[in-house]
Amino acid sequence: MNPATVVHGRLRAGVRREPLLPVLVILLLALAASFQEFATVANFRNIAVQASPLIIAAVGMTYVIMTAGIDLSVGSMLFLAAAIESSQAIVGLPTALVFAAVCAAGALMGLLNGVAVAFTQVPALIVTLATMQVFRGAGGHITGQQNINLPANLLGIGTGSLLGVPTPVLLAVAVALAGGFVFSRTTFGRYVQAVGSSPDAAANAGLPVRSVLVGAYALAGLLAAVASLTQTARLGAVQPSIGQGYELTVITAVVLGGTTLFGGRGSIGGTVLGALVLTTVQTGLVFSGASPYIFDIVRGSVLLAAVLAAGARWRNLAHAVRLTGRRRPSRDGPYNSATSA
Amino acid sequence: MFEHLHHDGEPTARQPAVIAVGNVSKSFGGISAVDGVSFTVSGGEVVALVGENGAGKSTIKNIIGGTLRPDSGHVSFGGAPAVEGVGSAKHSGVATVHQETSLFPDLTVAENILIDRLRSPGRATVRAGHLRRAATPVLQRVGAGFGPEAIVRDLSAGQRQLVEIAKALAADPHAIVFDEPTASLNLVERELIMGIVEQLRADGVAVLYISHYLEEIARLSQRVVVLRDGRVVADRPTGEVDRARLESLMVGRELAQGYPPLAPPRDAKALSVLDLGDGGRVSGVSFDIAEGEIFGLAGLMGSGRTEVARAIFGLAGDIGRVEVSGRQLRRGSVRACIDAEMAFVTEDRRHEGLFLDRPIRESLSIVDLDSVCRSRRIGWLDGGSEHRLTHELASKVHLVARGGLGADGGSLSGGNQQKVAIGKWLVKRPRLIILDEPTRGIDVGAKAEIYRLLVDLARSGTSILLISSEMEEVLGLSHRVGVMHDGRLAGILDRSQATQESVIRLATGGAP
Repeated sequence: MNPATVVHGRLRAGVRREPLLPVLVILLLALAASFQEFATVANFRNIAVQASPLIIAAVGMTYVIMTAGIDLSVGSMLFLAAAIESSQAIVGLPTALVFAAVCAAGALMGLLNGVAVAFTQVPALIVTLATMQVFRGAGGHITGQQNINLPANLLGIGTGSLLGVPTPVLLAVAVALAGGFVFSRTTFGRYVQAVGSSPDAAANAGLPVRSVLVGAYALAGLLAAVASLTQTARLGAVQPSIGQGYELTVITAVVLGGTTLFGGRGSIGGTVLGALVLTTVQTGLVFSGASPYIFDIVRGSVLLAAVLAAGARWRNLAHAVRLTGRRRPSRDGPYNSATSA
Repeated sequence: MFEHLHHDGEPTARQPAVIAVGNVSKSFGGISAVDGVSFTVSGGEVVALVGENGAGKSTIKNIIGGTLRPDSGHVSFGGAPAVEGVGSAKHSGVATVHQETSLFPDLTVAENILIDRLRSPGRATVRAGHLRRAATPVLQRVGAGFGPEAIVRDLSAGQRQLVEIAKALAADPHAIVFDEPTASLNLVERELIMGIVEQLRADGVAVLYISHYLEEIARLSQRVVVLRDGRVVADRPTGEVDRARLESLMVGRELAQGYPPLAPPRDAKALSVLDLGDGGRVSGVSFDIAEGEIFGLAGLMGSGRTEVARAIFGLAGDIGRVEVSGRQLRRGSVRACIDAEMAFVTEDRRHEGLFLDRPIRESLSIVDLDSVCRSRRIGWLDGGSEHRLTHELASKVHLVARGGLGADGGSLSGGNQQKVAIGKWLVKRPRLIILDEPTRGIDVGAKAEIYRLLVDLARSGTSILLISSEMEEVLGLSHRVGVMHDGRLAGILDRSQATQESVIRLATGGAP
C-alpha cells in the first residue's frame, strides 16, 4: 500500500469515529472564506478561550449522560461556585485555598445530586431540576444579586497565559486529556459506561453501581466549579446571570458530540468537538452581525439534528446487525425479557 | 371459505394456499438473510418452520407480516399477492403472534386485544362496556383464566402470551403465524397453547408455527420446513423425519446424541443453603451442593426457582444462611458472592447478562477488571492484557463472533450471547456457578456446546446449580434434582429416582 492510501484509510477511520471533525473543518473554512477577519490568530485564540469553560463543564456532563443520567443543575452549580468564590469568607484567602474551596464546593454539589439519583427512585431529570433551582437560589442569596468584582489574584486563571497559550485553554486541554484517559483507560470510566449501558448487567457483574453514579455526578460538579473559576476570572466579576441557561449549551455540546441520552455510548473527544463546533457557530454569528437570539435558534436546531442523525444511524445499525428493527430494551424489569430470535 | 375442507385437515387441491411464499430473498447490508425461500401453508394445516438462530426464520416471519419487504420474490395470501406494509397481512386475514409480546403493559386486556378497533361501531367514543363484551368471547376461546379488565402488567408471562393470541384471534384470521409462542412458559401453559393451536387447525385456520421445541413440532405439525443459512433444506411431512434427522438438517452436521456423561461429585461440600428466603414468596429452602456436583432445580414457572438463585447471589432478600466451602457468606451482597468465587448466569441475558451496545470484550472482562490493570490503585487498564484475557475466555466458551470481540454484544446470536454471559465468569475457575435457564431460546448446536461446557466445569470441581424449564435438560445433566413448589423446596431426587413423572408430581404439589 502506498502512503497516500494509508493516510486516506486512517482519515476515513477517523472521520467515521468522529464525524464532527469534518463538520468543524468545513465550518471554519466557510467562515474564513466569508469573513476576512475570521481567519486570524487572535480570533482563533478567542474561540479557544470561549470554548474552554464549555469543554470543561461538558467533559463532566459526558460522564453523567453516559450513565443514562442528566444534570440540569450545571449552570446553577457554576453560579453557586462563583458566588462562593466571591463571598466575604472565601475571597480574601490565599489564591490556592480559594480555588480549592470552590472546587470542593462544586464536588459537594455534584455529590448531593449523585446521592439523590443513586439512592432514590427519583429520576435524574427531576433531582437536578430541583437542585438547579436550589443552587441558583443559594447563589443569589450569597451575592445579593449584585455584580461583585473579584480581586486581581483570582483573575490569572482566566486571563493569564503560558508560552502564549491562554490559561483557560491549557486547563481545558488538561481536563479533556485527563477526562478522556479516565473515561477509556480506567476501571472507573469502564464502570460508568457499563452502568449506562445496562444497570442490571452491571449489578449482576458485581459492580458498585451506586458509587459509580455518585462519582459521575460529583465529577460533573467538580468540573462545573473549575469552569466557573475560568469564566468568572475572564469576566473579572461574579454577575447574577452567570450560568443562566448554560445547562442547555453544555448538554447540546455533549449530545452533538455523539453521546446518547440513553447512556452507554459516547466519547470525550466527541464532546470536545461538540463544544468547539458550538463555539465556532456562536462566533460566526457574531461576525455575521446576527441577533444574539439567533444562537438559541441554532443551538436548538443543532440539538435536534444531532439526535435525529444519531437515531438514523442507530436504526440502520440495528437493522443490519440484528435483522430486525427492534427498540432498545426497556428497563422496567422482566416485561420485555423475551429472548432473542 | 373453509367449509369445503375435509375435517382431517387435508386441503382440497384447487384451493390456493392461504400463505404462499415464493422464491423470497432478502439481504441486510450485503449479508443474505434468506435466499430463494418458497413454501406454502394451507387452511387446516400446521406447518412448522425450524432452523438455528440466524437461519432466517424471523426474516421470513417479518416478510409475511409485512414489516420487511423482500428484495425479490413474492408473498401471496389466498392467491392474491400481498401488498406492501403491515396492514396488508392483517387485511388479508393473516395474524402474527410474536415471541416478544407487543402488548401495552398499562392498558387492560380488552384494550390490548381490540387496540385497532377501540371505538364502538358507529360511535366516536371508546366505551368500556363494549370492549368488555367484545373481548370476553375471544378470551374464552383461548381458555384465559383472567378477565378482560385485568391490567396486562399484572399478568404472568404465560397469561400475556394468551392475550397476544387472543389479540390475533380477535380479527378472525384465516392464517396465524406463531413465533416461539411457548418459549417462556411452564408445562401447563405450554399445554394450553398447544391445545389452542390444535383447535385452530381443526377450525380450518392455516398455521405457521416457528419453534425450537422439536417435541411440540412433532406433535402439532403436519409438515416441517427446515431453514439453514437462509435456504430451505427440507420441506417434508413431519412424520417422515425423526428428531435426530431434524437436528442434523438444522445444523448441517450430525450432533452428538444425548448428554455428555457426568463424573461423580467429590465429597467436600461447596455450598450449603439453610432456611433461605427472599422476603417474598420463597422461604425455608435448604440444600447442599458438593464440589463437582450439578444440582438441578426444577419446578413450574413462578414456583420460586429464580428467586432462590437471586437470593443466594445477594440480588433478592437476605433471609437464611448460605455457606460456601464451610465459610458463612455475607448476605445481600453480589460483591461478597463474587469474592467467594461464585457466579450467576442470569435468565435475562439481554438485560443482565451482557452489554448489548458495548463491545463484546467489555462484557467479558467486566467481572474482574482489576486483573487487567496496569495499576490497581488508580484502576489504569491495560488494553493488551484485556485483549489476551478476553480472547482466552472467548475460546474457553467457543464463542463465535463474526465481527470480532470489538463488535457490539447485540450483534451476537442468542447462543453466543449466552456464551458471553457464561464466559465472563470464567476469569478464575469459579467454585460455584448458578445458571438460570442457560439454554432458553438458543439453538441445538449451541445447546450441545453449553452442556459440554457445564459437564467439563463440574468435572474440574466446579459446583453447578442448574435451573431450567426444560425437564429433559435438568434430568439429563443433574446428579440430583431439587423440585420447587409454591416457594418451597418440595423434595430432592437422586439421579436414579428423578423421572419426568416424579418431578412433575413434586412440582404440582404431590407427595414424593
